[in-house]
Amino acid sequence: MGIARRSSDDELLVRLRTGDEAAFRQIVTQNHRAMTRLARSFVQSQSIADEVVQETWLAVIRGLDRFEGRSSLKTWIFRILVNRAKTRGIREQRTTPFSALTASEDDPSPAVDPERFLTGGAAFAGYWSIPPSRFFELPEDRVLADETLALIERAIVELPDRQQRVIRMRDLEGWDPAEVCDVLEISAENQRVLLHRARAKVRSAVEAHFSELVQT
Amino acid sequence: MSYEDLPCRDFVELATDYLEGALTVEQRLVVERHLAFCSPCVDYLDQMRAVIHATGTLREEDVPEPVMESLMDAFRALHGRSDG
Repeated sequence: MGIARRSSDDELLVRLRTGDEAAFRQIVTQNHRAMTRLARSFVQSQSIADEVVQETWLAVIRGLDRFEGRSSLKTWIFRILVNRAKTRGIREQRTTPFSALTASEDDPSPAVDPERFLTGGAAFAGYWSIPPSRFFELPEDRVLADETLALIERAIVELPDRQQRVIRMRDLEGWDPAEVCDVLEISAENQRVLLHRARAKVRSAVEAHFSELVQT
Repeated sequence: MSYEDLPCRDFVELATDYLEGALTVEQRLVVERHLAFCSPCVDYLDQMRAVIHATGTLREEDVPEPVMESLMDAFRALHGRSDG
């Protein structure tokens, strides 16, 4: 897969360097929304995020001839974006200082409400007392109804910035973990911790949403 | 190690590492033994997979037309074909 992606990158790069407008339109279409979301998580307003994305595209246009293909075209673009967004974010006093960005998560709460498990000295302490519902057995158009999707979007928006970045890149945009680590400059372990916290909260919101529909 | 060595409360904290293939061989064996006997935890993973799938459907490709036009202009200015 990596090789296939790299060779399609090479082809795309040739097209871009020779002024192929359809190729440029394609990379803008594929990435603009995700770039805007990511930039917004670093800076204090939507208009600054839009400026950062605009500046990034101009830097990409200017840098195409110098791009050496050491990373994928996508991660190269997003690294430019993150560097610019961080610079703006720090200037605008929004992002967390680097000293606070250590491996430990800002939010060590358990993935599942402890009350869902048996407690005390019973033989089955730590096992489910209220097991997970089987909402996934509902018809797909029910699970993927607009209402559910809006609820997922709200749950994501409420996540801390770092968790939100990771779940958007991984589960919404479908990136590989290594690409996320590369762009956000975090370790593989940290990436998984952030993803774990984020997914746990979104799962919990979805399960609660379907709780009246599905008897366990 | 057996099913009893991994309460469900601990399993859920390993779920992401399990799905990501990031567990050690020994951890994975304990998790898989647990799953072989614990259908609620299998359901938990199925919930997780359903939510991940639903999240993926939120992906949108949408560029406001004026933004696209100004980017296309910038692209043409630097890389435009003389015959275009």
